[in-house]
Amino acid sequence: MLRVEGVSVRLKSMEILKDVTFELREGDLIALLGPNGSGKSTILRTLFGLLKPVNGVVYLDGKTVHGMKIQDVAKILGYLPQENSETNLRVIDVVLLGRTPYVGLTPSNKDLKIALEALELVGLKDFENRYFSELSGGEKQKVMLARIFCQQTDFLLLDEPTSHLDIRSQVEVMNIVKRMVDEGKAAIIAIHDINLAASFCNRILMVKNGRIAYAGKSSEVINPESIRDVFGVEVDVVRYNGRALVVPKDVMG
Amino acid sequence: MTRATGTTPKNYAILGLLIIVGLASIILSVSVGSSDINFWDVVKTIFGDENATLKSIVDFRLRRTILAVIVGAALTTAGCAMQSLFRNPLADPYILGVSSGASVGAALVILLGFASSLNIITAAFFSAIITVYLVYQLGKTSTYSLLLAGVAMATFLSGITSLLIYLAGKDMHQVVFWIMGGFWTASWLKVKIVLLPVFVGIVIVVYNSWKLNAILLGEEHAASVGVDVNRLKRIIITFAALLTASAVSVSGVIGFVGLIIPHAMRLVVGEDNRILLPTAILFSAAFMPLVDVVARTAVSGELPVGIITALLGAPFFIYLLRRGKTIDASG
Repeated sequence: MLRVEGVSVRLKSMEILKDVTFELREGDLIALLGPNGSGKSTILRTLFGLLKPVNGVVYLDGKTVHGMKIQDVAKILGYLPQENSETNLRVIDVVLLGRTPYVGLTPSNKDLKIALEALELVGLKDFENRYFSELSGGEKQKVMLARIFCQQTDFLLLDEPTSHLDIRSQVEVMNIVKRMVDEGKAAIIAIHDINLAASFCNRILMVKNGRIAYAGKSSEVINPESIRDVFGVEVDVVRYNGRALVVPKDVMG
Repeated sequence: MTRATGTTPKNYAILGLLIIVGLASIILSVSVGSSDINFWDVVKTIFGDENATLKSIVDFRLRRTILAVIVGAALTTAGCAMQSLFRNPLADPYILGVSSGASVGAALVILLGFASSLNIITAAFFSAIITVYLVYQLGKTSTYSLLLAGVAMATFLSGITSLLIYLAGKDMHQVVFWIMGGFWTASWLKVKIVLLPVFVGIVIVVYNSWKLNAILLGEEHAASVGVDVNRLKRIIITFAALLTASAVSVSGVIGFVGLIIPHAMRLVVGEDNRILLPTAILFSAAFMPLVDVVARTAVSGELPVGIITALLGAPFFIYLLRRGKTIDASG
């Protein structure tokens, strides 16, 4: 279990996270919603140990993340940064990088087998010798998910894995994540598309100015008032098959 | 065919070919000169034939060639490491100010009249290391500030070097020649001095080649697969500085080798540092002796190697660029 307790993070004199508390358990698929700059990425980076809280603790299976070596954290937390990767490495070598926490000098044949299975799992069988730079945005993101799968972690921390993707790739990526969660992992995803979040995630955390402003099931949390409060925009919320769907109001014309 | 690209048969073939070409190039370099020696006589002499005249010529050329190989390997390794670390195709071994630092040290020693071979080596080496240390301290907060600190420091120190050259008077020639770089002052002592630091530097960089691959995805991605990025940066910068400072202190500032050879091999074997580093090092071992031959034989007297690496290297590089897929180290 990943437990975040009263975490505050300061960057220079600005407090960019304030008293953030939540838990991530097996089977959880949590969406982090919030406007740009609200602190979604900061939360994920802090969970992974890259930012140190000034207050509060991140517990990982009872230990504190910030006392662990990054190599050991990477065996339990699979973190996908938002930063775009451009490299001319081959796909298989990118996926194999997920084995880094476990390899010394260079990956073994066992690592190679794991990497090939991971590629198959994300639907990119036979892509191993392609160059990463030649792939489409959706394919790149799936390669990255295969890379994380190779890390064999219990938790996934994904920073906007669906941004800049077409709707088919968005759904494919979310389905891969959903399947990983159904098979016993837990995931927390920073995401902009509220409807996508409501469709796939079983819990929503809405972040405003570094605080968690709303938390709960999508049907409880997503309503015109919370969206206005967090995003500052007027929307209608309609129900469709039990999901909350957001439709913008201020459409001109 | 599903293998990690580092270990494909094609790459083993390229490695094998480069070893053969490298050895041939070393022997060729020893056999060509003001008096040509038969290729096989060179081999026989190296392996113990006792013809005194031959032995002294071979000995003279061999120490130059060996020094050229070591210096080339050092610059190539440092260049590969810097390009991967900074994900910048323009990065080279001198990007953190090693060459300008070494030049100031060497120029000072020459100008003050202490210009023994050992003094120049010592002054150049330590001023180079101090320069990199200062650049690192100034710019360690981010990759950008590190690169900018390197550029600023290099500009400042080149100014000092120019001033020293201006003040040098009759010693001007010696300073300028040293900066241009070459192997005409090669000695077995120099070979002995640089062998160990260069060997250690290469081993450490090659040992970290998998982690350097992770850096190619971006620093945040490298961290996400468990690489301690700041630690890796410190290690790579330290040993790249050791390699470059060692090379420069015995041969002056030889340009383009550390920039172009890694790129040339990247076009052939790809970006994977596990195969890129060894092939690039071997390629430099084949390339540098040939450059030194040109340096010794192109004009009566001696041409600085830095001029030849620029004149040969740049067009060769442009040729590769035009026929190759892409050279972008970062995208």
